[in-house]
Amino acid sequence: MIRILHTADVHLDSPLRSLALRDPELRDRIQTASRVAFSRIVDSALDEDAAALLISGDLFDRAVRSAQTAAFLTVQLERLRDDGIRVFYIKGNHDADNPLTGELSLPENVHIFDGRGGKIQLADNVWIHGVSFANRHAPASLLPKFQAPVAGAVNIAMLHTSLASPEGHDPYAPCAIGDLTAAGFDYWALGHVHRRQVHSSMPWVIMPGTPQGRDIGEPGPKSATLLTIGETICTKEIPTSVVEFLRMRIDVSDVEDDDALRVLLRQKLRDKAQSLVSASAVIRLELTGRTPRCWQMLRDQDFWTEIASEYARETGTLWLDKVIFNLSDSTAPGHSATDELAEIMRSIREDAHFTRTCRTEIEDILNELPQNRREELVPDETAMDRLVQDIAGMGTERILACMKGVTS
Amino acid sequence: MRIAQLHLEFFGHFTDKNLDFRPAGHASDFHLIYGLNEAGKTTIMEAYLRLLYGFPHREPYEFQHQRKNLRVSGILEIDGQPRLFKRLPSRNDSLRDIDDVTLPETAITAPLGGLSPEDYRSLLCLDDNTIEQGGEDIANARGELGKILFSATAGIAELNAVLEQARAKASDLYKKRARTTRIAELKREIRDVNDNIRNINVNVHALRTLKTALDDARHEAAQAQKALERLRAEQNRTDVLRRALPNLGELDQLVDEIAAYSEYPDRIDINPEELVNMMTARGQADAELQRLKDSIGNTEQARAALVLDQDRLALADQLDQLDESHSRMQTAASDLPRRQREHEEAFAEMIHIARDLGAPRTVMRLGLSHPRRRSLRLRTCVTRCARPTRIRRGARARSKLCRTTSPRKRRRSKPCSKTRLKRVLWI
Repeated sequence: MIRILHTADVHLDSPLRSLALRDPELRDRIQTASRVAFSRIVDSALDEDAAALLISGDLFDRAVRSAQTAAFLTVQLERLRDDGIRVFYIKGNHDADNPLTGELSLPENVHIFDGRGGKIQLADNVWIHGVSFANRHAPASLLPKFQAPVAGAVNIAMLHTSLASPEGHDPYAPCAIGDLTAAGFDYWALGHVHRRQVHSSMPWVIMPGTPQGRDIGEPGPKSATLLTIGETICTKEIPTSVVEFLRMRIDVSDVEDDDALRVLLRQKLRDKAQSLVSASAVIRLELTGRTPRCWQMLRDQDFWTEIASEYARETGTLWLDKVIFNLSDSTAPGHSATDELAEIMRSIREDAHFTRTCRTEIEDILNELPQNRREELVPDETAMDRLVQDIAGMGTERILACMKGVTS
Repeated sequence: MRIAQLHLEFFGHFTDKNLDFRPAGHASDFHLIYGLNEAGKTTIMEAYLRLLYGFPHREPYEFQHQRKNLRVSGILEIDGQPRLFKRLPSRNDSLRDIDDVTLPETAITAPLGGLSPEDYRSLLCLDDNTIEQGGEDIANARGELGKILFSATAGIAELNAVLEQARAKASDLYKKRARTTRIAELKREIRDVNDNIRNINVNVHALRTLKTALDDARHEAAQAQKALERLRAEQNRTDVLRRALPNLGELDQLVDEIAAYSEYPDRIDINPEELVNMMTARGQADAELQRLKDSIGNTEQARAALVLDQDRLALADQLDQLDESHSRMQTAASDLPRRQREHEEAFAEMIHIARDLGAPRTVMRLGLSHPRRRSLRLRTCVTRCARPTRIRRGARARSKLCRTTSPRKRRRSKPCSKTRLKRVLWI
């Protein structure tokens, strides 16, 4: 019985992103989450008496080039070495692009497959195959670089791939699931996509996902995958994430007054806290529904955000990222002055001149921001237009809500 | 108020230009004046403003007709009643009616609701620029008029407060070049954080540089260590040489000195300890010799001091005879017990024989008492002889101790005083 732990996309020391991190307490708790997640994988490898740890690429993050990261990694891998656990590592697109990879002096239990590919015997009847990214892009499939599986043995293949990547995304060693299953390997240890997915079980094709989500775009609990090789290969998830990101939608259509909304928020957050897999979660809350109280809630959104944040904190495990008010008014638009104003503001919003003014203002503010953040916020022209539209829309609603609040 | 007719009698490049808008009540009361550039559209508008508010002090439309000749008139319908107004360029009494009678300004400003010429202009006389500017003012409720209009449009004065709040919030968030806004604060924060990261972080390039520097430094240190060791060894050697240098001079000197003694042996085979012992022994022997010499001298002096007693010298022969008798007596005395025993045995034999012979008891008693008394006498004699023997034995012992004097002389000499004897014996 041989056990092997499989992970990928660790992105060591890549920072978590959430507004909730403004809370210093949370920041202290999870700022080293990617490290903790990795050391949990190492713990699990030791606990489960694993024979090897497979890292299917993107161990590092492109943007993180601190020597401290390398130092941390070395210490962890040495823990494995001291227990006689071997580590197999293929470089992903982030690793290939990070000069840190070239500066590593990793312990001798680590085998790094190169871009030409190769195979290593782990045990009597177990072989590990792997091919690394030679540089940042791999527009063609890496599948032809794999050597033929060893006959009569268990063959495990490590590959960093975007699989059949959707249109518009750069392809990273693209290949089809069918090609993988037909290649004769018993287990495909994939990496690159951050969401865990079992593509096939005969043979196994598993994308383990990142061990620690970094923002709301990578939601849910995260894990590594444990293989047990006996007569057949069994797989099991090993939870790793310190903190998980969660979207939570609450329908407030039937809420009649503030008290009822409070009770609802509190209850929903408590329920969520109970069913949590990781130790903590950062919640993005969306309030939806058609309600006559739409304007009041929009007007008081600072207040409700604060309340929700407080209830989340009360659970001890949840932290509020932000609240999205996705509400619509159930009352028919009337003919009050504010309604007319709303109509006017809506038409002004569509005016090209107004859009230009907005853009100028946004550009002013963007100029105040550091270069890299600017690029993240507004990568291209369409993003800029979208941002202008979104902000103008949100602003209109907000101002209208405030005005409604005054008149109603 | 509605304008029905505008007559530019003398204004701008117009002379006697009449615009008739007809009375109200037709299908459409919307009028559009259009024309090429420089046709006079703006001039018509300005002429209308002159009619309402009079000619300004500086009149830009006097380029054809002199200012004093300028004149605009028109028919305004006020509350449905058409009235003709004339406007002259004079400073006072410029508003006249159809009969050229002076009218008060209120005749026009009252129907206008007291609207100032500036407000009228910015409100209702919009050229391309002012349309844009004024529209923005209204939308942003900026400027007194904008606010009034905004409130008037919306019909709610309180909204101004809402806007003010929103605006305050907005400038709390961001305001150009302001230092206390949230954005400015965050900018400062991020700058601090970045500085901090730069200070504590070691990036890959720095790591590489540091690694190279470390290797270089190690190599250099090893080189330096080697050099140091070499220099130390050299220093030690130099130190030894330096210390030896004075000795070398001394050696040369000594070699010169001993040159004169070249025939002397290099070394004498003698144990210095033995020499010392011998010297000590010699000292002791010298002292002993001296002491014995002194002793001899003293003794000789003592001997010379001795005075021979001539009278007692004569006694020497007698002593010799006595000595001889004494020797004989001693021999006899040692033989005496045996003789006595023989005598006893003979006497006992005699008694036995006498008894056997049957002699009377008296004879026996006599015979027996007689020899017993004799024997008693003999015993007394022996005792007497023993006395001089004892005296002689003491004298002999004394002479034995005093070796320097012969026993003979000692016996003859006067006995030494006790102190003298001691000194001779032990010192």
